[in-house]
Amino acid sequence: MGDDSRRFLTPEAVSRISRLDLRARHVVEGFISGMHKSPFFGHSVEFVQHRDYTPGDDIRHLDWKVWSKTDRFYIKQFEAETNLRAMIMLDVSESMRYGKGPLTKYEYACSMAASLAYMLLQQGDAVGCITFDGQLRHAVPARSQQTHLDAILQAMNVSKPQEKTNLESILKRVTDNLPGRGMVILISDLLTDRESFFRGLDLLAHRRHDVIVFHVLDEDEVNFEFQGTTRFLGMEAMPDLVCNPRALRDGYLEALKEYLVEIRRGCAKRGVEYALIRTSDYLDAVLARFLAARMALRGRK
Amino acid sequence: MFESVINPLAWWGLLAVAVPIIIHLINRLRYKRIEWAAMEFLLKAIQRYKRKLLLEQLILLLLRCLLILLVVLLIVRPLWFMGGTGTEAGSVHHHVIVLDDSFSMNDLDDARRSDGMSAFRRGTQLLTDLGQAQASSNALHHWTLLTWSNPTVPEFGPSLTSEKTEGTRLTNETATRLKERLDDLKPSSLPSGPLASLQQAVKHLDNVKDGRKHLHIVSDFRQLTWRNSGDEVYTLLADLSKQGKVRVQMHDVAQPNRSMSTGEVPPAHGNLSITQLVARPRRTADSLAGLTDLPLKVVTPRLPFDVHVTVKNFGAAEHSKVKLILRSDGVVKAERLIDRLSGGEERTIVFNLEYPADEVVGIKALTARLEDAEGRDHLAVDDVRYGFVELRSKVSVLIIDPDARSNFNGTDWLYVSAALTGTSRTGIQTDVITPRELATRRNLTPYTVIYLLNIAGVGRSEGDLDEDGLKNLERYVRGGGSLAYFLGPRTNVAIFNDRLYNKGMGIFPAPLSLKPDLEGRKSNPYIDDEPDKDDYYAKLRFLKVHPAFPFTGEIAETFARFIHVNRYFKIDPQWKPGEGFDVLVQLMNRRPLQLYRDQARSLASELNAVAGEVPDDKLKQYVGKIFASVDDPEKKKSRKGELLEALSATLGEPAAANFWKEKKYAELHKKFRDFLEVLQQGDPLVVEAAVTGGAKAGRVIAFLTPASPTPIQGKDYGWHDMATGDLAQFFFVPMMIGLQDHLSSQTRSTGLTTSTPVQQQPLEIRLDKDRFHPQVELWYQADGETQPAKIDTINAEKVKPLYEPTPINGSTTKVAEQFDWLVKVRPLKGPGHYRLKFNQVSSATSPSENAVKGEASINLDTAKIPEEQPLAFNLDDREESDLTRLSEDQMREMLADGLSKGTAKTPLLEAREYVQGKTWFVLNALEAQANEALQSQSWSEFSWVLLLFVGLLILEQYLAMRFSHHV
Repeated sequence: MGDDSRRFLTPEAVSRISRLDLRARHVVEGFISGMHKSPFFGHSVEFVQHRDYTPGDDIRHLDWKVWSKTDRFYIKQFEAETNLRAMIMLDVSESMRYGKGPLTKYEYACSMAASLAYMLLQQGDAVGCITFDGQLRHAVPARSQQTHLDAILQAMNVSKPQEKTNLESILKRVTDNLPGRGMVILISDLLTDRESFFRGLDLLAHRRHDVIVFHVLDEDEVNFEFQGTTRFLGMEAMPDLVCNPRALRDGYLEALKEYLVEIRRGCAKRGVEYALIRTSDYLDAVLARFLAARMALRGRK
Repeated sequence: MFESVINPLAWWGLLAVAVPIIIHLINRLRYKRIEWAAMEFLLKAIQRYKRKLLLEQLILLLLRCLLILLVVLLIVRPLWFMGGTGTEAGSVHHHVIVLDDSFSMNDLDDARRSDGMSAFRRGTQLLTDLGQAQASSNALHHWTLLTWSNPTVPEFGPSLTSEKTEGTRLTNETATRLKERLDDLKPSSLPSGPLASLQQAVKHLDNVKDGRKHLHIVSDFRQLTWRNSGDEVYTLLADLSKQGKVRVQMHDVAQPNRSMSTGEVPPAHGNLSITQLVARPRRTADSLAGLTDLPLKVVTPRLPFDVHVTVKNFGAAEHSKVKLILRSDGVVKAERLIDRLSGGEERTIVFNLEYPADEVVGIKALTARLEDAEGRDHLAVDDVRYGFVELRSKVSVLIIDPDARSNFNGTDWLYVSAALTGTSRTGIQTDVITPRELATRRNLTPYTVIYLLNIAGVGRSEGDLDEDGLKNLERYVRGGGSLAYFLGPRTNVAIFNDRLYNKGMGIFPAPLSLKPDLEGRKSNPYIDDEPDKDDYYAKLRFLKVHPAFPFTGEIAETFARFIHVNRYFKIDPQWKPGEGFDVLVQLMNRRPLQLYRDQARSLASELNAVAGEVPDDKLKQYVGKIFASVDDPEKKKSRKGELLEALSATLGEPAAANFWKEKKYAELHKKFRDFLEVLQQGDPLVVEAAVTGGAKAGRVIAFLTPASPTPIQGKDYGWHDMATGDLAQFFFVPMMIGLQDHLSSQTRSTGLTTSTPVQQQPLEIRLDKDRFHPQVELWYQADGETQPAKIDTINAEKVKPLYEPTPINGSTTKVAEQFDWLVKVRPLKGPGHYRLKFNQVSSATSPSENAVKGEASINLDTAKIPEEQPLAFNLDDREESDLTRLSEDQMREMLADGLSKGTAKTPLLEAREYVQGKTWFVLNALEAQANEALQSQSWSEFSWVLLLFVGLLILEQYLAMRFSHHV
């Protein structure tokens, strides 16, 4: 793995994702006007309603046409637009280091985070990044400058995967530090204690953050297609095991399915967007599909 | 277990069973390493599946081991693994063949061709073929061939005593030897059953460690032989089959062939047989038809006698025109054509025979032979029967009388001698000696009978026998000799009881009473009665028809009325006679009538009270008669004839038959009968007894009165009047000749028996060591030959004597070693005429040196002459001649029965089921053998193993896939 922090954002990826945009599901409060709906009325082209004039209102917003017809003062109210404050949380624990294909889960997750950051910066949103394992490794505050991408990539690069994931404390911390409502994108293999993960999600949901969970798993982990006696060396303080993987596959898949179902249910219950990503999937395709689905969801709202 | 295999080296292949285990272990050692994040699920899975996985793995491992084991076994192919009835290459078979060689196996297919196929030949042919077929088969066959007659020595294969007892392996070479051996075999003349050989076969089979066991029984399966062979045979066979895992095959070689139907008794050939050949004294009187004569063994020239030949038709079909020929020393003496002999019939043909005066004396070999003109007698060996008579120019008897040297013409010996030699046709030669002279006669065997007349006892006085004489006499009797006593005035009762009766161990049949007279009229040792001239009633009774007293009906009645016995000795009334003791002649009750008067009167009165029940005074009339018969007892003295007659008439009255049968008169009836019995029951006059305890039972007849009338001093009458007047001619002489006939036919010196059955056990003959040399010659006289020829010399063995001589009180004689010589005789040439020639040890005192009264022409010096003993060995046809065969169902029934009594005590129902489920008779052994061989070539015995193998392979694959070990 080179030190080039840019490797996570290859030109091909950039070109592929350039036309994508990530919209906030909830109304967000930003500090610049952007493409996202603001909770406030503002000066946009989208008319919302009339209301009675009260002294002190900016007379610029008086609807003169209505006054001319009814001789009453009505104020025209418009929808305000704001930018998104998104925080990408990247799991860099030891388990993320696994990967048999061209990319480890870590690399894949980094690429994904970089792409998302790039995309968000492109649409003028503020993006921050947090890498973590057992504790917080790096925290890059959200900025909307285009140059901020470098800082984010830098943060991902230095975070060598290590140690065990501990999501609850991290999420709590993130919740505490995130001002206002925003978007939290969690990229992890979620090989951690489910209880603490769900408690963290509860915190985020409570603050009405828009939470997206990208669950990254290696193809091997999903299909478990090993042959021959194998010694599995446990990561993140797990014991070693010698076994015949073929004989154990059924049991493994069963346990995995139970786990996935639990995660999916837990996320759905908390209104958390969840997507299972395999490292073998094309990143842009995954993102495109995800974002398209998200837009459709939003449209329904 | 490891011997009977094709590729023993392949046993090393068993090591390959370890291969799957080793692979497993290697796999455990050689593994990939993968750093794994999702360990959680893996751990969960292994926690959940650990047991199942372990089980699956174990099953697979075992299955694979089993597969390899199977492959090894397929290569090695041990017998136990193949199981079944496989005769495939390399399998090992042990056959024990039990061949019936009893004489019924001589059963001919065609009765006209005596050299044709017989059941036995068919059996040996079958075995030869079977042997050759097995020799050329791929399997290894071991044979042990036993015969019924001599099962301890196998005809083929090693005996039990040799080191290797597993039978001889059949190869082309040994099969040829087997054929030669079988061709040499002949049916024996023995009536042997299957038991001995089967027991021997079991021993052989028990020695077999490895391979399949077969028991073949080659027999003609005759019903009688197999039914009478005992439960043990069937228990043994059934146990062998069920517990011993022995395949029992029965080969029936009798003709016609057995059919498939198991219930059917196969048809059998017809067979005629001579079952008896015996010479008997000539009897013509019809009244004597019921008399059972003892066989006649000694005849004299011109003495007519009869030869009884019994022919039996054992088949069911009638035989006609059967010729019976009797030969003596090969010369045809008589012929008889039996016109018809229906199925199962037994008929005795009597030939009248008489040797002419110029016939050469000696042992005459009699042969009776059947000739079946119609050719329906399939078994020829039992158509002949052998017997003997000894022709002597004179039959010598010895008379011992203290008065032997007296010229007084009223002596006993004169009476006896005159009666026996009165007519020359009897051929009897008497030799008269005094008791003293007996001491020097060591060899008494030439005498057919010894008469002891009026001897005093044992001691030193004139009329006494001395100790040596007694010893000689005892030896003679215990050797089978016959004695006749006539007591007389000299008789010393005390000595007789002490020495001669000797508590039943001596040679006198009964103890005598010392003071016999109950009425105490005199204190003499004998009973004295005055003859009563007025008594016309019977004075004695002939208790049985006996050769010496062949009198019945009117003749007996007449003799009983006229014979007066006035003085006689009485047998001790306290003595209880033992077995073999018979009273031949009994006197009537001679006690005074006075004694019975009251009893008679009371009985008559009792009868009088109830006699009215019988109508017409039929019974009442006798009451008066009874009273009349006892009205003057003083005058009538002991005459009880009248009373007896009245009593018998009362009981015998036809009109009163129902009266006596009534229950309420049963007691009265009994009283009458008892009274009658008491009146008739007198003292025994003539008794007969067998003297046992010797080599052979001797026979003794004792007259308790003298032979001669013997006058009584001071009286005008003698001891009796049997030998005086007309009675001498009509009673005494016939009686003496009858007595002589009877006793001489018993005597050992004239032959042991008339016929000796040929049996498994040798005939045993005891010899007196003092007289005989232990070396005995066996001579054989072939059919048609006039002279016998020596065929063997037998050495006798020492055995404990059966009889110890009477110890003599105060005797100082040194007791010599006591033993007998035991000669074991086997009929080496089968049934036929044999003779044993005994050589005598020379005696210090030659009997011939002693003075011999009478004609000195008889040479009694037999010391240097070999003594001959003729033996006629005949087939023991009790069972074998009956050719009726056994059906398979009968066999099964007996086997089931045997099984239920066997070691496992199988319940009868289960035993039946087992026995029914098996085929016992192999109808075509060669075909069966060929089929088995064929089956082995087509590997059909093998196929289940292959199927199993393939099945296991598929199972392994399936399981392996199922257990996710293959994609």
